[in-house]
Amino acid sequence: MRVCQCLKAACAVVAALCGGIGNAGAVPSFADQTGQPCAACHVGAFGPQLKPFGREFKLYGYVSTDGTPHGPPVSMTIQSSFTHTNADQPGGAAHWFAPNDNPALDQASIYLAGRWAPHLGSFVQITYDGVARTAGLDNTDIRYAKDGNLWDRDLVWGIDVNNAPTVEDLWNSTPIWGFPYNRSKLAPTQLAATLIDGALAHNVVGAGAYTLLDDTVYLHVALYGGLSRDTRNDLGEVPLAGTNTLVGAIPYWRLALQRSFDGDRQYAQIGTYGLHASLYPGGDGSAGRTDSFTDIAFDANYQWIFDTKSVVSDMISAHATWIHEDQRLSASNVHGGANRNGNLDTGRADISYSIGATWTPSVQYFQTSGAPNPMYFAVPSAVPNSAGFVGEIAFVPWGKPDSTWKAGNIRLSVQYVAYTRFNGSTNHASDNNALFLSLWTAFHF
Amino acid sequence: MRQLWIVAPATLFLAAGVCFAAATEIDQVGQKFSQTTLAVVAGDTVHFVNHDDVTHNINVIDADDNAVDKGLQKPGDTIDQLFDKAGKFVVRCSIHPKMKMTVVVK
Repeated sequence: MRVCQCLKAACAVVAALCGGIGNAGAVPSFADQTGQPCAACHVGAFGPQLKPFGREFKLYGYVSTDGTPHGPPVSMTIQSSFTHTNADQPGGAAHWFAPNDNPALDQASIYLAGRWAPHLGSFVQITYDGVARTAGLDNTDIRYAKDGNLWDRDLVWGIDVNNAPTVEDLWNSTPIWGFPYNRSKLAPTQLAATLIDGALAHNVVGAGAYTLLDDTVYLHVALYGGLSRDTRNDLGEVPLAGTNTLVGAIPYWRLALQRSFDGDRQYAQIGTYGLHASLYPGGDGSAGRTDSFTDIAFDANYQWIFDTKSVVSDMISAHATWIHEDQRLSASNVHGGANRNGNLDTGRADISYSIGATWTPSVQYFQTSGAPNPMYFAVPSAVPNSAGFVGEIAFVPWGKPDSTWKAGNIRLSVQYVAYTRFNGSTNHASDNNALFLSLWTAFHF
Repeated sequence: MRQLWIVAPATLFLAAGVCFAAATEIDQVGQKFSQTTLAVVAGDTVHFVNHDDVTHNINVIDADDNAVDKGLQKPGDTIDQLFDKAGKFVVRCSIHPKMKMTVVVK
């Protein structure tokens, strides 16, 4: 039986490898457009963890180019995996999957990612989810950016349209691009999460403006609106029944201060971000009331590149964020007897050490806690608290200046998620621990 | 003899020109130029030397926004730029947008 499971995992790995034919890089069309190896933009020579030039490339609107002709900026990635959890999941880890030891094609994505005009670029991801077996619009960020001077200081400014708060962000401390960069869709995950922590992703569309003054002060403001059910359905979100309906505009802010020092070997950033949103829980507006959420978050980043002359230099990279959510649950109170007020706090901190842009071990501590709310948090203890660690080691053989195979790149990783508390309980929390073996392949058409 | 009177000063003038035209080296290290501003005299040449392990590019942009693309520059390569007219020039790498410097030619 175990041999059979291993065989299944191997088949998933081989299938993804066979898919990896073509020309590749980090998001491979970005690498093709700039003539830079994946390691120029990404810690560990594979996305999405950004180095200084990766943030710069995004800030300037994905338009930097080596000036040579390139084809359409179309790329593809395939992620496949094997997941083992400490305890079986009765009824299956997901529809179509066994209670444990599941190989999976996690997702296959096509990207329209690159320069369309001198100052206009995009990152548009369309994804087939191999676990849910649905396809739809994934992370999307389209931006126009220019630079100039203000008060004799360097100024970069831009406008952008995107479909998830923090998808436009330059740092890997914020939710959409935070560690772990991929995780099992077939392992249990905690139920409680703040709204800004991914819950709005792909359910909204927003437009905003941003600026970076003197390479120090970064400000981004945006307004989001919820997509209609028809639009969400057209974009691939199913099922819609019972999902929340967003009401009104959602203001979002992002402020950050950054500084490089020690001859640009070291880099530090501190910032804040947040939003305010109202919604009809379960899409039910019959009470005429909404639940309102105000998320206020703080984050910090630190990077230490040992040799700035080399994109494959060893480096340390660390990120941290803390999100506080204030909940006003008028609608849930009327509909289901939830406490009228609540809160939820999430904290995460991770550090990685990239060795030669080839081996990257990482570790993260995460924690979510909040006030008990029996009729709101659908967990047995009514307390939403969870905590634990993620450990990962990733291996990326290519994506370096001297890589012999320039046509593609892969990321092999072993990840372990260990819970000390899960959905309010320490008893059997470790039943949810998961071993996740992943192969991530990227290539360019 | 008359020809000697003409050739000798011309030779001296050219020799003086060669002597006074200077060459300056700018390093490209850590995706930055080694100087953010540089003052040169018309006729000087600046050598841009790529000490990084990734490709760079040199674009020389004058005050009217006219750009001269000097092409791609692989690791270890040098690109020479003769600044033969007075003015203020911005030198940029089109790959690394924050990599820029100003050259003032007198």
